[in-house]
Amino acid sequence: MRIAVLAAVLTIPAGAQCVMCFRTAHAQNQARARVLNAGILILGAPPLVIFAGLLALVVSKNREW
Amino acid sequence: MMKNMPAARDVVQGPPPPPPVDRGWGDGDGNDGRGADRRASFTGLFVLLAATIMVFAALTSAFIVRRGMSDDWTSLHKPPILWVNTAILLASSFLLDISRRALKARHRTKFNFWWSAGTALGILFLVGQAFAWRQLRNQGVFIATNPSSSFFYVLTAAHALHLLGGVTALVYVDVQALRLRLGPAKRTAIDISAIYWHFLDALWIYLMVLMYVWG
Repeated sequence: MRIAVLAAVLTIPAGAQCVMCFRTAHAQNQARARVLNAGILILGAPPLVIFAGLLALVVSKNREW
Repeated sequence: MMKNMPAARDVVQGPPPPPPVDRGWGDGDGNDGRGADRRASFTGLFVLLAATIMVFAALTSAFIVRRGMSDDWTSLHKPPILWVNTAILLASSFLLDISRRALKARHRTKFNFWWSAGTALGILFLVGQAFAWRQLRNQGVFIATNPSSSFFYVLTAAHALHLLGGVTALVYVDVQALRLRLGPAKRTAIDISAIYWHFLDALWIYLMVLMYVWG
């Protein structure tokens, strides 16, 4: 159920870009805008993965939760 | 008569407590073998690894965007010596692992030998990288020649700088181990240096894939 909700949320098109990236992406053709989005995702992935790892570590160490 | 009898609190009830458990943390600071210093060192290492990952993620992002959004990107002919350097770095990591296994088996001499060999290969990798840059320079490929060459120089130099820090740590461990300041029961610096080195190894493989597939 949780995974289904998460998957549903992830399919919503979000315009969560800073104004510079948004304007730059809109000034490009579709292929280049996709490249910019990929660059933003690459930049955002490591902190999320590190945070998820930290969270998993804390939860696994503290089983009283 | 009563004076010579031990007080009730002095009588040991049951068998003596078991000795501290060595869970591999190995600094033996009086508790169960997990030392606060060692844990702090590992926390510091993980912070360093996270920061390094972020630096290279930022560079990767810039690489992908610069390549995909420009018309002036020309694929760079990479010097073949990079493959030799890769083999040297992998061999270095392998030797450090052999060295740590020797230490766990309490073979100090073997540890010192393999660790020194791994350190030497690490220095050799840096020399090889200098040769690669020299080859590019002789071909007339400089940092400002092309975006591709710029990224090649920036990525390899950033990695080499991190590796220089790693080599410093390896040399420090080598010297301390030769002076018997480190060993089977005091190996935090050894483990941290080795983990950092393996990380730099993996990072280099990643950079090779990035540069050869998209560069």
